[in-house]
Amino acid sequence: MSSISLLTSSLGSCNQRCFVGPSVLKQLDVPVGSWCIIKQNGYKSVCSLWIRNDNQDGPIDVQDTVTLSCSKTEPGFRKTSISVESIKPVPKPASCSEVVVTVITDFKYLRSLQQVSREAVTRQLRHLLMGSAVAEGCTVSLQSGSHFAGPKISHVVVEKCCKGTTKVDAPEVLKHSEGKERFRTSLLGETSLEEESLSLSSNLEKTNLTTSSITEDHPSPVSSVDNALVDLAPNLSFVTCDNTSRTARECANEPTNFAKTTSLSSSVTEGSDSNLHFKSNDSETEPLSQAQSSDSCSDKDVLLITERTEIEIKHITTTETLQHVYSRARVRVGGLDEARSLLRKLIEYPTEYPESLGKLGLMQSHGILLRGPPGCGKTSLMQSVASECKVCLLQINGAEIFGASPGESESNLRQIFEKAKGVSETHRCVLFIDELDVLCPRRDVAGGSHEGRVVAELLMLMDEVRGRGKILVVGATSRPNALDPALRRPGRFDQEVLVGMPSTAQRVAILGAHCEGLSLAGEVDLRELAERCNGFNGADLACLCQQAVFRALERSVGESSKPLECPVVKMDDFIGSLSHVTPSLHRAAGSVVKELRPVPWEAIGGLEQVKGQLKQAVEWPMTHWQRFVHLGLRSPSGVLLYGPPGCCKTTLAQAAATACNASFLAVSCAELYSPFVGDSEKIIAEVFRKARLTAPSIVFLDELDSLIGGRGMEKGRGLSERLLSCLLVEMDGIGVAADEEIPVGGVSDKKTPAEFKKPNVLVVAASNRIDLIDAALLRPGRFDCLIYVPPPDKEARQKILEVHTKRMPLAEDLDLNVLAEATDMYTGADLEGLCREAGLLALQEHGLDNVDSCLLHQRHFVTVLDWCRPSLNDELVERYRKPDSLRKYEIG
Amino acid sequence: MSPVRKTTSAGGEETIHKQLRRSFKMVGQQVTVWQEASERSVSVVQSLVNHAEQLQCCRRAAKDGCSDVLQRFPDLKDRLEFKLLGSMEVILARLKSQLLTMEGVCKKHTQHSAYSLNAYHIHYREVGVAKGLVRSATWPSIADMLQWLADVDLLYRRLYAEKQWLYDTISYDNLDEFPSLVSRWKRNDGELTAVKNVLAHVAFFMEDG
Repeated sequence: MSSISLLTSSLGSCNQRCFVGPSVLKQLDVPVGSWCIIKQNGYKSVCSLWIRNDNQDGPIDVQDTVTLSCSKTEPGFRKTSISVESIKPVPKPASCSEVVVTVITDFKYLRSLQQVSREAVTRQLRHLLMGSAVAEGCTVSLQSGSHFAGPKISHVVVEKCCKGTTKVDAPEVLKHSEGKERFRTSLLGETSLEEESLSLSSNLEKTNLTTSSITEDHPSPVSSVDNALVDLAPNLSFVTCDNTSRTARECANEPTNFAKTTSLSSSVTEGSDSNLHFKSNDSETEPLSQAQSSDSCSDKDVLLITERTEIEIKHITTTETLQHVYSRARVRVGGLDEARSLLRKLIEYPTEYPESLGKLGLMQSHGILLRGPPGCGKTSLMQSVASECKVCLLQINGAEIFGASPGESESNLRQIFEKAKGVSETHRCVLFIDELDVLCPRRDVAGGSHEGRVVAELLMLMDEVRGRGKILVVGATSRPNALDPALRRPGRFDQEVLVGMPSTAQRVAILGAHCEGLSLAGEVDLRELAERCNGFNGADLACLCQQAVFRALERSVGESSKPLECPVVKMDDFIGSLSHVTPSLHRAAGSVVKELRPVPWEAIGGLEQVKGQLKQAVEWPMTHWQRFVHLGLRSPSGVLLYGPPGCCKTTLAQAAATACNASFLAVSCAELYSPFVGDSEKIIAEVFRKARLTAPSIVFLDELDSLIGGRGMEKGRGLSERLLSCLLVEMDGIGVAADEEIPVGGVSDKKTPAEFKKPNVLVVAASNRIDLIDAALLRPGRFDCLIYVPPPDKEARQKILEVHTKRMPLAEDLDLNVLAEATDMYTGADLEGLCREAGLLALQEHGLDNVDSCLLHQRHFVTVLDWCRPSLNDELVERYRKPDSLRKYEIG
Repeated sequence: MSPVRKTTSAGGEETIHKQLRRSFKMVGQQVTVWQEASERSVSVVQSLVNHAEQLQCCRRAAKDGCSDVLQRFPDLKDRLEFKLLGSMEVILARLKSQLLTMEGVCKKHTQHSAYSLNAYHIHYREVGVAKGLVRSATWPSIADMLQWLADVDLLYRRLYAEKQWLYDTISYDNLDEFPSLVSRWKRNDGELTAVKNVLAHVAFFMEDG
């Protein structure tokens, strides 16, 4: 009856126990020591049932569990508060013939485990795992105490386990069992003697019985099983012939025991018992018991590790590594597909195609520098890629590295690299240094030898790591120019990945990622929302979503007093929270930059010609830039709107910005003046940098003439001259640092010549004194598109009047058409004043009593026209229109 | 032990008790076997540590330069090392044989623990759940005894695993670890008192059989 596999399989498992009270056992109607599966929180655990120590009903206690369907190392299975209902008795699992495991240990024991031969570790694993029931993908926690002198293995993850050959192939079985027999005899020494003899006698005696009992339930595998038995028999006898020194007692005792077993178990028809019976009566022929168990076992995946299970160690790894690899909560990153695929390539190619890379002589990248403005998702990108590629991510923060005492920072840094080296022996490892600029400032600028030493240490460590294939150093910074130049050379950070400001499409993706868990109303159009969020970075968008959810929450709190689960977020919530969230880049720019109020083209009456010109100059290059490229046209770099004051130049610029969905940075030139030397230039440079970051963008310079008069016209305009030259430089694009974080978003076609690229920044300026503007600004290449905004024509005046009289009670006889005719040379501002005066006049005539009946008549307007003179006349208009007047002066 | 067939009719409980008695008898016997093997192994380990110390001294001497002696006998160090390593190998073989004895003890326990549990599983319908849990002043319950058997088995297996691991991790390259080997070898042997406790618990039960 007995053989090793029987012994271990009927053993109620030493290390996976569940202690229950007697009533629970009665309720489940199973004997002590039988197997069960406990389900809790979506986790399953296999263990054997035992009686609580006090023999009383009490809370169910679970010891050293095997957790199934567990992809994380964090314990989702709580050992307390297990209900009786969650316990499901299962028949004894079949024995497992082969198991592939990953051994997890603590970091400090990793090396010692790696130094010992695999056979020794396997032997230990056999001791630790024997009698445990496992399933594919399960984690066996081995809580051996700290005083345990053996290998400190904390968990064993079962990657694969199989019952062995499911199809009975006679020669193979023979070979297999031969191997096992040898193994057994060598291992067991004296104990094996009795077992061999027993198996022989039982086999010979019971073959008929066994097969007959099989035929009842499972007619199909009989013939094959028979074959196996026949094939096995000589082999068995061969083995037992050697061990003839068995005692008479054993011979007499065991077979009878066995006969009793079989007879009894055949009378009991319950699944578990019959299974037990098959396990007990025949364990030599594994295929047979498999044929049984595969049918009678409800949980087929659960297999028992026995003495004969072949254990294969896939790899040995550390808890920390595994936590890094598996348990990291998935970081959702929207957009950034380009950067992500590049990162993935750099991380995965060396592991996937090591041979071909070696053949090609390709050096793999050693360091990647992620750069981009803050809040654009550098850190989350790295985390998400790391969890996707299942690499171990070791994160370093500058603050962690720096220590108080001299030399501490260096040693901290060294320790982390040591750790990375340790991890890299089993896993590919990414060492992620966030805020690299803190750790590695320019050595020539930053004072203090301390930073210099840290930089030197990092450089040295990076060079050291270079030879090792499995470590990749990734740095992230928002100020790449502040880095030590020695870092940014091939061999250290040789690849630079830009994580720029998101484009509209990317914003849609980011919003989608953030709204994944929310219940959105059907009307929410993320695309439209994304178009409104120009200049937002990832963090801003996240904040926006949070705000929107918060608003929705508030709303639903107001609606019902019930505790709310998941409020539906509407578009209004998003729109409303838009006003609360300022793009962080604009926030940093201070008061200089104003926000864009969306103005559609239709809101501007008349001026069709100007609008057409502006569309051509602003909207076309932004929206149809591919056609410009096709024709080899260079988009204008600047547009100057000039004309008499009060003719809606500012509104026109806003409308243009709205139409092409560009971010709009309005700078009032008067605000640029600062009492500090160099401050104004800095502000201009900053504005242009921000504009490039949030490209496509329009920089609107209002009252340009106040900023830049002609150079050399007056004395003591040094500041103005400096500002002018600064502006010129910025417009020419010289001010752009070579590696500034210009978004890659729209410009995917790398072959496009640089000058035909989609315009990133368009400068739109407005001035009414074009004669004061330096001629250098007006040449093609700077403001190459000069648009004259004339005073409103008749149609425009009528529309303006309509706008301003919209809220006034108008009499029937009022004809705005006639009024518009009469108000030639009136500007928009004049017309507004006219309306106000007319209203006042009407009020004066009518008196302050019963205002309700007061109406504005045509005569009021006509009267007012007498003293409200237009602020323009032909001469003035002519002067505004002629930009050449001053050029003459300059030449002369 | 032949009248098993009779006890089948006499009642399942009787069979289970019989098997349990047999198992605990074995436990009692194996305690001494293990103890002897353990004591012997400790002395073997001690001699191994001795040799390791000599080996270490030999290496240190060669390194620090007792140049006059070594110059006169140029291959003295190698010869000494060869001798020492040879004898250490012999000692390790002896240790291995002790380990095999211990493994045998483990096997016995596993086997008997399984026999007893098996006997209970076969008869538990007859016996009933309640009866398996009844404890008396002198006899522990069947469930208790089964659990103890499993406990004892686990304990032996773990101790064996520890010793096996120590054996596997012995390395001639790392001689610094040898001095602590004896203490590490004996460290957890104290836990075997648990076996004695179990035997004391079942003493009356055994006598009644």
